[in-house]
Amino acid sequence: MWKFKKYEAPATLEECYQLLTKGKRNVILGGSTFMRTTQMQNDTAISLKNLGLDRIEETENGILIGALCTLRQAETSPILQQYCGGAASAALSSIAGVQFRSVATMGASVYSKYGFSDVITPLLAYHAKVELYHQGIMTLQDYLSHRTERDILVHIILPKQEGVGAFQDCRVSTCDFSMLNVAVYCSEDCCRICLGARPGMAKLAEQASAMLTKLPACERAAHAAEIADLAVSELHFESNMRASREYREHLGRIYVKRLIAQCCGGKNHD
Amino acid sequence: MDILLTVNNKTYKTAIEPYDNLLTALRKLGFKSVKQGCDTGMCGICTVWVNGKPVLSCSTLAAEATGKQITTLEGLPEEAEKFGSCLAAEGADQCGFCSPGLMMTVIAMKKELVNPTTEEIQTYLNGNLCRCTGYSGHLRAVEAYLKA
Repeated sequence: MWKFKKYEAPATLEECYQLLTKGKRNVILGGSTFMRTTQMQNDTAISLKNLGLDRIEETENGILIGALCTLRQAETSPILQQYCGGAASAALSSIAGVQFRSVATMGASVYSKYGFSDVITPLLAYHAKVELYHQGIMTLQDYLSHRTERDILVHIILPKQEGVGAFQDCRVSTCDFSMLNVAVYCSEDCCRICLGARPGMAKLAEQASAMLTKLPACERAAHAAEIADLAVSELHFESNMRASREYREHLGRIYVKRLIAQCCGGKNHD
Repeated sequence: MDILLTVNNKTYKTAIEPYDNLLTALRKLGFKSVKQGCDTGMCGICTVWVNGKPVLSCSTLAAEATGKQITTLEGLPEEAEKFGSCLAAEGADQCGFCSPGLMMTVIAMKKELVNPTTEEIQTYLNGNLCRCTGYSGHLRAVEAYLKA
C-alpha cells in the first residue's frame, strides 16, 4: 500500500518546490490514481490544490492546460474539443470510466512519462510544450527524451496552429490500457506521426513525419501506406501481456494509414 | 491529521492518516453506501460526487477533498429511490453490491447529458462494473429512469 508520513498543501509554487527538493522521498501529488496502486513509501506528499492549476485557458500564444486539470475537464473542454480536430480530447474519452477521468490529472499523466499513456501521444503530435517550475519551458519531445531533474510541471502548452489531428487506440477491453495508440497531425507545412503504448513511451516517427511533410498536401493520402510502413519500421515495438510485437506493428501500419487518410481527406480501404 | 469534510451539506471533523483515501474516511464517518470494490480505480463501486462530479473515492485522497462538496447516495434519497425502483422493476439488481456506485454515476449522467443515446449511456457507464447482471438489465433500468 502506498503510504506517506505527511501531507502538505502550500500556497505558492516556490514553497512546493522547496518542499520537493528538501527530501528525495517527497513527492508531488497529481490525481494519485496510479500511485495508489504502488507500494511506495514517501515522506511528504505535496498537493498543488491551492495554486489554481485546475484551469484550461486560451492565450495569445496557445492553450494553457493547468497541471491539475482532470482528464475529464480536458475531454469536455470546448477549447480542446475545437482544437485542431479535437484529437486531444477524443483520446481522453476512451480512458477507463468517467469517475476515473475525473480524478486523474493531465499534469501527472505527462510528468510521469508512462509508457501506456493515451494522453502523451496526441500532445506529442500537436507539438505541445511543458512548463516546469524550475527548468522553464521545453518541448514535450525534449522532456520525454531527456532525463530531467525533479521539478513541478505547471502547465502543458498547446501552440496555436491550423492543422488537423486524429487519434486512434486499441484495447483488449474497455477499461484496459491501450495495446497501441497512434496520433497524426497534419497542417500545410508540418506533419507529425506519433505512436505510443508500443508498449514503450510515445515517440515521434521522425522520418515518416518528415516524408509526409515534404509531400504536397493533395498527395499525402495517396502515399499513406508507404509512410505507415516507414513509421512502423523506424520505431521499436515489443511484446507484453496485452499484445505481441507483430500484432502491434500490424495495427500500427493500419492506424497510421487510416489517420493520414482522415487528416488529409483520402479514402481508406482497411 | 484532522480534516474537515463537507458531506451532503454537513461538515464533519475527522482524524485520518495522511494517505487515507476518501472511501475510508467516508465509511469511518458512517456513510456505508460507499463500498470498497477493486480498490484499484477500475470498478466504479466506490463512486461519490466531489463538487457535483462523479469520482472514485478509492483513488481520491481524503485530504485532497477538504474544502469541496462531497455527495454520497445518502444525500440523494429521492433520486436513489426513483432509480432503485427502476432497477428492481427491470430485475437489474441482483447482489446489489455495485448499485450505490452505479446510482451515483447514473444520477450524475442525468444532470450532465441531455437525451443520451443508448451508446452514450453505455459509454458514460463503462467505469461501473457488475459481475451479476450482464448489464442489459441495467441499461433497461437506466432508460426507464431517464424517461420517468
